[in-house]
Amino acid sequence: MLTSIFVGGLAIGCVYALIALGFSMIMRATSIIHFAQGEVMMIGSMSGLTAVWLAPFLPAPVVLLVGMTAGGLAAVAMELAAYRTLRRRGVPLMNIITATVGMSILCINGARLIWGSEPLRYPDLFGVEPVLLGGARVPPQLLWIAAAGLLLMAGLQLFLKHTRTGIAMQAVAQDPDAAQLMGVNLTRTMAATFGIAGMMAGAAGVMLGSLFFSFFEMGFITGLKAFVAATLGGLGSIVGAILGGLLFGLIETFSAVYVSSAYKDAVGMLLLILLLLFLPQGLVGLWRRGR
Amino acid sequence: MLTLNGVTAGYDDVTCLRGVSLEVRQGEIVTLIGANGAGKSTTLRTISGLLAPRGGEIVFEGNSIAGLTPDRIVALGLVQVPEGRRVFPELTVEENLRIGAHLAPGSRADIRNRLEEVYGRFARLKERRRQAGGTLSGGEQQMLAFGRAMMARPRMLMLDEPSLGLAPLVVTEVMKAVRAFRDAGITVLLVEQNANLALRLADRGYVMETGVVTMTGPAASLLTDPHVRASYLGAKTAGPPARPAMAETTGGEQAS
Repeated sequence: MLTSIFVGGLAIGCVYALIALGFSMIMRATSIIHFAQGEVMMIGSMSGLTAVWLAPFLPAPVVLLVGMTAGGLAAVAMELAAYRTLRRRGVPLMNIITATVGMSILCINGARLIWGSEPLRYPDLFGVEPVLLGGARVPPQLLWIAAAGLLLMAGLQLFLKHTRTGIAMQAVAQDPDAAQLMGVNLTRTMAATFGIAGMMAGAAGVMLGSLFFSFFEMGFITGLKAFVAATLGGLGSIVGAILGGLLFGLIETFSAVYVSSAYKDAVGMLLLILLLLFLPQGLVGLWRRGR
Repeated sequence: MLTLNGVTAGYDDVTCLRGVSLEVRQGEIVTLIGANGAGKSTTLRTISGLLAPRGGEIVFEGNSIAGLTPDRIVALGLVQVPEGRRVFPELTVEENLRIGAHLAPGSRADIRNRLEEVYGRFARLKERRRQAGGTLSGGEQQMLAFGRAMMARPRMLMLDEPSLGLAPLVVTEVMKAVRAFRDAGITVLLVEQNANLALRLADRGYVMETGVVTMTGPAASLLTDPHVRASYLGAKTAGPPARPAMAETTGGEQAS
């Protein structure tokens, strides 16, 4: 029982973490809080589902890849079409952030037009036979999602550490002027940041869709929760976003089982407020203070 | 090599540069001195493309670079080391250096070569290569900023206040590094508030006041100029160059 709750919490935590990562990366590179990140996740989810409709034989990793590609493209399109233009015009940051809320609503309505308002079921991508794990019977999709999520996050770390674009993205996040003086193109790197953040969210979309449903409003509350998770970890920190997402998923799942599934959101939010009262910097603050 | 002709620039409705003209020739060390707020740093920011000029010409090796983005200017071989070192605090020393070679088309082996070259000049950086940039001392950070710029294999370097906030002993090291740049064939434009130090290092100098160049000449003659001595070298009166020792002392204090 405990094992399967834990794996379930880990799986949903990975979904939050993947979206939260995007919030943090975009925030550090551009100072924008990207409130349409949940909708990028939804677009990834819907695109993955559409791919399965068109080609039912597609294996799960390919569907995941379709979702990532769609999410990445959607986020880059938002950056190029709207945010970059606003930045160039010298629009105040708060107004750009407001524009991301507008983008989110636009996407929700657009998705309703394309995919309708009914929740759509994903086919079983990962099989249905429960897996025995330490004596507990765990649904296979939970295991797959947790594994894929952790793998993606590890891959992102490698990308940021070892590729030229990855290091440039980190440099821009830490000091945009100095990064430019080293030959980093700011506009291109910001677009790349949106792209990578969108890919992570797109993957989360396919995962969340295959756990529950895909529907046009799925990004709204999930995006907000992921934002909370990013704040919980310490907004702007990559490690913080991962920790915050996983922790939030676990807390939510455990409180759904042991407290009440109707009030699981309240428990999570209460915890957030308490944590921020004592650790205003989020979880990373704890580690930074210890150094 | 680099020519500025009547360059104007500013932020919002504040004009900081009111027609700056200067020239740096191949192989020279040229210094730009002046008081705080005279527009020295703004001049460098404008040359390196962080700030778009409002008027005037900037020509680097025959290419007009006014209005280009910083990365394209770096690609031409003109690299700025910003004021306050500005190393990336959360990247390791080696990652900081790798960023310097961001535009290098090169293979792994090429990047390795460049790294070894930097480590050859600044041995301390090699010892600390896995350490985060933010944990280095001020002097080490300055060496890292120099090394990071070297990774781009620049033809010309612009150094913004490299001695700022460093202990006198470290300042000597910085001066040595600047001379080594020139010996390696890199042309240098040096901005300094420590005019004494800068003029002893440079071939020629320009004096800036409130957004324009007011004086220029060989560094040696600026060092003995009464006005320069009174305004920037700490001599009490604009008298004859009688007490060079006094100028030395003041320079040292500024640097510490």
